[in-house]
Amino acid sequence: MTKWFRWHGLIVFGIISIFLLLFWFFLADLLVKRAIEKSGTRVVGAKVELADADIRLFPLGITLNSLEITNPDSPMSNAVEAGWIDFSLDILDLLKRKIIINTMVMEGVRFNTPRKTSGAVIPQVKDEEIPANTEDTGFTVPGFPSFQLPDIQEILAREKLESLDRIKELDEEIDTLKTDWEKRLAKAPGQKEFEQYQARAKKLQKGAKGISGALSTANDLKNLQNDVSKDLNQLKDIQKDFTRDTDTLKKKLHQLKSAPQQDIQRILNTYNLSADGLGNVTQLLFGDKIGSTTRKAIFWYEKIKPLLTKVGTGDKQDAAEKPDRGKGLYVHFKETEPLPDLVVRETRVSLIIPAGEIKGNIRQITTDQSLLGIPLEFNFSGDKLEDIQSINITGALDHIDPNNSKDQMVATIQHYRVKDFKLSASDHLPISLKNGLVNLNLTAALHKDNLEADVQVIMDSAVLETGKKTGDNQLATALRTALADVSKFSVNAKVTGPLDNYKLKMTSDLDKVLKDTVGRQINNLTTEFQDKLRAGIMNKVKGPMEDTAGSMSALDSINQEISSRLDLGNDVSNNLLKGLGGKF
Amino acid sequence: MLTILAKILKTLNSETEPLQISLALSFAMIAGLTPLWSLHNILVLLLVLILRVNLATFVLGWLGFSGIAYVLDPLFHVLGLHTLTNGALHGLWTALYNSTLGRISNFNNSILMGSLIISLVLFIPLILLSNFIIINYREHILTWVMKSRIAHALKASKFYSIYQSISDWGRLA
Repeated sequence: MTKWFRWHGLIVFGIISIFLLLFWFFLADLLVKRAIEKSGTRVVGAKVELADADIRLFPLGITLNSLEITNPDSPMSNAVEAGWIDFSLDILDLLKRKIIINTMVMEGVRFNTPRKTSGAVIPQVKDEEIPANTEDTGFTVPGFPSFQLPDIQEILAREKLESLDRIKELDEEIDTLKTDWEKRLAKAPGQKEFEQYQARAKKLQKGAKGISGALSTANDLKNLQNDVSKDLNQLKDIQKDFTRDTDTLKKKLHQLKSAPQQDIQRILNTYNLSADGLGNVTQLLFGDKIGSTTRKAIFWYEKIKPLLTKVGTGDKQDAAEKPDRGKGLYVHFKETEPLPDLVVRETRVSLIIPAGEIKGNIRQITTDQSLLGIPLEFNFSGDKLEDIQSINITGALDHIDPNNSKDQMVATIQHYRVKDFKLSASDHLPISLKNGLVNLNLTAALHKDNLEADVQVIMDSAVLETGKKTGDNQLATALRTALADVSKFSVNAKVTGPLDNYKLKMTSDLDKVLKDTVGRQINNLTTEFQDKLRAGIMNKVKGPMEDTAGSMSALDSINQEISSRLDLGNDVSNNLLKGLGGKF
Repeated sequence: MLTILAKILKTLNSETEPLQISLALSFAMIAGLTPLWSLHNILVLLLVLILRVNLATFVLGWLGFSGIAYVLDPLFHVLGLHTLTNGALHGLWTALYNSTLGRISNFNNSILMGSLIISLVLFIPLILLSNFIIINYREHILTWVMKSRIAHALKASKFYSIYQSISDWGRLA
């Protein structure tokens, strides 16, 4: 028997076992710490760090000290920090690889705490960073129309004035008409023709002697009268045509006087200074804050969501996977008393916010709600905090049916005293809430991926301030005055749609106050701009228009010429021919 | 390298029972082929320590079989997965899965199951084969080698001094 057994081997086995147990006992803390940090970092995408983990054996439990979860969007700050976490474990469940915790206590949980070193695991690219606009374009505020008056000289150099084109056209018409009439007048009966008629009349007077002479003269006289009459009629037609042509030109000249006004209107429309361009001021002032909060909430929700529902259970699915070398696959079988791998029945949390301590409960934290069949529920509340009268948050994450998840949250904050809260960080229009008393109601429901959230903020005793950086700008002064009068306002935000493409709609009674102020200021600027534009255009148009009017005057000489010819013709007809006709 | 070779030769050439060496080699095969931190390896360690098997052979064999295990990993996975998903054995595995000991044993891991099956199946054949080889080595090869000129030359070398200096691990057996 002794040939095949060495009983002192039992002592060696005992020594090795004790050595291994001691090794585990001293290293287990470190292993748990590393496991939490590694898995947490993988889930969050930024460093999860733990000061230390302390395992106790009787009863089996773990205490975690100073857990820090880095904010992946801001690696120099922690999204969450927990001072102390303690829980007990069921050893039999643990041997079955089930972490079942009846009560977990989390003390000193804080949000957004600074870090000494970066918690980034990969270099961060801030895709939402908006480059600062260094170009000074005058007084402009995003969401507000531009309040800088455009340079009139630049506009006039750039814009083609229709007035000048029409003046040029009219000048050409006048010149053409003048040339045409001069040609026509050259062919029309004039002084020469009427002098000839006078000479013929005198000749007739001399030749009207005797009966035969008288008869012959009467016949010639009739011919002469016909000729004079014909020329006079021609001149009358000419005068009539000329009057018609000049009337048309005068009408055009008259119309031309209103052309500069049309140019002014057209340019005003191009360089629109109407208040219609004013954006949603509420969106401008509160949109970033609410949008950023919504994005953060969605980001963390997306991180938590996969942990609520176990993916990939069942033999077939496991078998289809290709394992890492040396790791193999775990084939799972039906459990007689099925339980998720992790269940925390109740977590008692103490949240530390700047206003004080909020206590809360989170029930039924698990990695497999489908198996547990109970949704995660939470509630937090705090009373008589510093600057907050009360805060209540309740909600539930129901992922029992992963394809029909229903999450909801209701939050109310009463009498939250806000101090020095920046609404707009714009260099041109910094607006801050110096003081105010906020009442906030939030309801949010997420059915599958469809979000419907409603936030109502009612602000009382508000003191709004605009910064001094805006200088003496008229609009800034007007806004400052308008905001100084605002002491009460409300903001309503609705977030609707799928998580990856939600719509944020905001309304507030601040909109009307600011829009009226901006609208009045725009009216003033528009008037100033219009006056300057009119002066500029008139300065350009005045000279050419006077020249055109002068050209029109030049046509009067033609008219005078026609009139004098007519007078001459009438004289010939009335005096000479009548006198001559009396003798017969 | 020379030290390891010397240890192997020392063991083979010692007065240790061939079965003690063969048994150590078979236990080394179980410990080496299957994942180290498995429940059954505690039993293997206990048996290695209380049975008078050659410890040097066990340690060296364990190192060798660990290297072989890495190469055979895909085979273990396929065999283990096939066994675990075999409908005829489903009741057995389910019962084992629902027991604490079964869950601690990690039996439902494909590589552990595959490697354990192979090492258990080869356990007896390896004992017989290695026993046969050791006996024949000692009877025929060792005598011939010791008489050869090469052996005389080797005795004068550094390798032989290492061989001599190896503590007699086999004596513990």
